[in-house]
Amino acid sequence: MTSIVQHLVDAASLGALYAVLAIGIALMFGIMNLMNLAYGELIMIGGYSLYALNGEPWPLQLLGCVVITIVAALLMERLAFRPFRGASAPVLLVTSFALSFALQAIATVAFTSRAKGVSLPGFLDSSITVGSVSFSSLNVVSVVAALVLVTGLATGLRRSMIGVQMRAAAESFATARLVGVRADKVIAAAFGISGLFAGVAAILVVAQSGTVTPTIGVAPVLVAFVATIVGGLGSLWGAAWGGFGLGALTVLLQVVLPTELAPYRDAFLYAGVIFVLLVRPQGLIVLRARLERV
Amino acid sequence: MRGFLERAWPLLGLWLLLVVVATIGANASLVIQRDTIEILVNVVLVVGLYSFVGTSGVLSFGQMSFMAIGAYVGALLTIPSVQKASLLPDLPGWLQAIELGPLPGALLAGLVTVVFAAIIVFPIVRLSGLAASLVMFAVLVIVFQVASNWTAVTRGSQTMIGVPTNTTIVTALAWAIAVIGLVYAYQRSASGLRLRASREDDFAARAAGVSIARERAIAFLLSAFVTGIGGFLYAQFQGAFTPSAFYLHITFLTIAMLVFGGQKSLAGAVIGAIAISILSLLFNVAEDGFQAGPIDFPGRDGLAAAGLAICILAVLARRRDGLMRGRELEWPGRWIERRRAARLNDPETDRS
Repeated sequence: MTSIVQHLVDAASLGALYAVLAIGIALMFGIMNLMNLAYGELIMIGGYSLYALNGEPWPLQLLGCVVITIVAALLMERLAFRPFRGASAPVLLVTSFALSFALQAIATVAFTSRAKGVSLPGFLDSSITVGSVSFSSLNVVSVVAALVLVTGLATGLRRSMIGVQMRAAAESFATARLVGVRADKVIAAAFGISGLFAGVAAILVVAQSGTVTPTIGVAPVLVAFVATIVGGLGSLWGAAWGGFGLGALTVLLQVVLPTELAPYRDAFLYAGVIFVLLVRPQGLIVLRARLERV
Repeated sequence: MRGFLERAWPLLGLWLLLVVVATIGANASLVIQRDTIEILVNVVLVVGLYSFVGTSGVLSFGQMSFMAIGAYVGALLTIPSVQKASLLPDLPGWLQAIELGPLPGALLAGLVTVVFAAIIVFPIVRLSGLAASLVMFAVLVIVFQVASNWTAVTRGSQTMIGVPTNTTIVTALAWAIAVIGLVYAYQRSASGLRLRASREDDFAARAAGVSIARERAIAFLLSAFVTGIGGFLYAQFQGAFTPSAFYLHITFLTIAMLVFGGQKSLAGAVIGAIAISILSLLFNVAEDGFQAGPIDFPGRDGLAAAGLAICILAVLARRRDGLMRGRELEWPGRWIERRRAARLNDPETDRS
């Protein structure tokens, strides 16, 4: 019983992290059809800003990380992606790939490829005991952070003016512009919010290992990429559920696979991904606006 | 004669380009000779990628799984039996006994890759767009995982060593010429034209009676064959490799080469592969540090990657459709004529 609760907590926290990652990617995809591989490098930038703020009071360190990541996301949009607006999906993808490659290389030049230690506040690195179950505080923080971000985003998209405009732009960018939605503003907002998500994700990812490297963002962004497509392209709820499901399935496979098959965990995970896409090629949640029409 | 040359130029021009690259490389230093083989192997891989991605318009993140299969099958078929017995003691006896030369080895490696592709092809060609891309990515991950853990056959994450180094400039050039000819013939065939029509407008193509799934399947198998050969050549060039040689890095590098050159034409694939390979070799030299007259450049890790990536970004920002913009090579004579005519008709707008 105890171990089942333990696994459930693990599944929920990994799922929560993946959901945060996936929403960050889905936001940019929904509005400008950009599958942004350089999203992982936003996480890296967040990680290095945590490293740079080592020793500062913790609210400053964490807030600094999030703010710097948001600024980096806005700069990324302005400098790298604005010249490519309206380009086809493969071109955008290669652009973002080249950008991600360049940022990793710049980080290697600046910080070398060795891992840098980050000292985070103690509450991210302790364990909480409830009854006979003890779990790390990071698990709890991940779940709470994901819930706060997702609820905040959902409310913001429904209630605020810019949120409504973003939803309209995700539905049909051209039509939204015709009725007066400003493209620059909506795209900047999407990048800013996904920068916020990347900043929080950076804290959670760095807290797991306590270090940051130039390639820290690669694995998370691939997971987010898979989760977004499995969840249903352009749908934020789809991305959230896709991420959550992927995290939960990872933990489940870790638990149920016999030892000799354990190294093949990711192979089983991706076989599951293939299966979902064969059954539901459009992903778990299908947006009407994205269905192909003649 | 000129008529024939003019018509065949898109193919002959590419062949000529490769021969020139190979000749220059073959007469240079040993290091550059090795670099030249690498360029030619990259050409084979990118042409393999193009034969599916470029002709169908479906971006695939998984074609390099075919490279892995070609490399491993090739290694298993060509490593001398005696060595195989000590490297891979758990290999089944019949496989241990096989010892093929480079040509039959390459063909068989390509065919095994095609068989693998034939198993997965039907679900993939029915999916559209990003779903197909992602399923191929999943295939890549699965192949990587199996290669990293199936110790009896692949040595797991340990380096596969002792592969005979048969790939020379001549063999690499010969294969590059052969696969370019093959893919060119395919894209000009009825099936290739139908597929390329569906790339431009799938509804119109379907309305005209094109079975997109069937045409895509043919291109997919062709791509598996060519990429498998590319993997074989890579393995027989390096002599030793690990599963990570066929994973994310090469996947994105080949995609970048294809998009850089222009993904809608064979010339784009070939020129993109050559251009990026040469650029990346140049930047690698800079990364190691150099001395040019008064300039003493110390070099630093990461510079090569940064420089290469920034070059790709700069070119794509100016030419979204890649260097070739989806065109094949044009007969030089016709190009000169067109320029002259343009200048005569409209002297004002000719600013070049």
